[in-house]
Amino acid sequence: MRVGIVCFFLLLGMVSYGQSDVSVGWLPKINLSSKLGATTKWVNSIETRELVYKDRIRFLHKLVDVSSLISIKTDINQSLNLGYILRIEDRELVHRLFQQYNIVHNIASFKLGHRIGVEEHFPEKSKPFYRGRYRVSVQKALQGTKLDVHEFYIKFGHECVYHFNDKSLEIRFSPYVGYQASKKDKVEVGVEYRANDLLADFNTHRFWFRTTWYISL
Amino acid sequence: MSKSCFLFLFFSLLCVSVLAQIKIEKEYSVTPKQVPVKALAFMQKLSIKNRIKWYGEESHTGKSFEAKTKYQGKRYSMEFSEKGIIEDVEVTIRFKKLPLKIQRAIKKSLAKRFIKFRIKKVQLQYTGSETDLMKQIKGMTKLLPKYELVLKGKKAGPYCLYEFLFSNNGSTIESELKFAPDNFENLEY
Repeated sequence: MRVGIVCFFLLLGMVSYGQSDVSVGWLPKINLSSKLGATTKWVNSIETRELVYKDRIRFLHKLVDVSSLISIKTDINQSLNLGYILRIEDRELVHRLFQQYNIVHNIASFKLGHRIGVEEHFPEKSKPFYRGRYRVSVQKALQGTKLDVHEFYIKFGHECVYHFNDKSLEIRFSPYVGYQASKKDKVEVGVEYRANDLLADFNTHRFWFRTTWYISL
Repeated sequence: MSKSCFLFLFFSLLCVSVLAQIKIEKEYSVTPKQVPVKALAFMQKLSIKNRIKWYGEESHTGKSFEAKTKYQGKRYSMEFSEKGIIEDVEVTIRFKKLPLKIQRAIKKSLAKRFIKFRIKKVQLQYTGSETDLMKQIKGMTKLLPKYELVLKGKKAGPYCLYEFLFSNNGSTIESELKFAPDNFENLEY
């Protein structure tokens, strides 16, 4: 844990030293899922983006994402997600459709999750754009080989997001600590580092403090 | 619907629901200090050089302790009662390494229960006295094992995870447990 915190501040220091564009903020999210049938779930979420630092300390509400998806289990450890996100940013609405496929493996005491997806964005005031993404996540229970109620876990995620129109690549790294509060809900707290325009100009760095509450109804 | 039809349906559903018990198990890491002395003594007699991981387990059968380690190239799991008495020794093995006769018997039994199935994990389970189990681990005797399988199987509905315990000859199912569904929403959404 201490190593992680030191690495985070070292990275923050490194990227802030040069002529970089650095911003820091908070992404709180609630994720609600309910079973529709033996193999389908309906998942809804709301996430906001609050900016805390950009050039100077400031507190600014940036956007809200309201999402709804249907998750179809295709196998014990695989699922297909089909969804829609409505983004409200600076009074502009952006409609997004997405399709994702998930595979989760149990390897010894680790869970390894792969998520691959494509998105179609339809902003009100500009042309549609399209993105592809791949995320790999690793989770480990901190007490025992499997996660039980009232136990903590750690999770690391790495995601690549490719913007087809701009031909730009964004990478994201995110370590989390989570807590299985009950059989039906868990809370995660972590930091997500995002680097934009990796292929052109490795100059935009964003740090988001993430808090997510997953609730199964 | 007549009363007799309703009663027939009710009891039929009741029978179906008890066929596969749900496997509910809580597991947590424990330190050697939290393990009964008898269990520690058993493991010390084996003089295992590899790291031993200890776990406490609470399930439908009660509380127990488990030691997991690698010994002579094999993955072992030794289960002890709450008082530290050795209950069984399990060794992980690949299904294809089982005698052909046993493989066929197990597949035949599973084919009667499932439309489709895939075996994910197999363990040889040895039970007996402390002396017999010690000798078995050291390779000084050959006890007849039972076969514990974890598999994904499809009956009428979607695939689910099950744990089966087969007898020494592989043809009799001694227990069938269904795993409670795993939740990994935080890896999917």
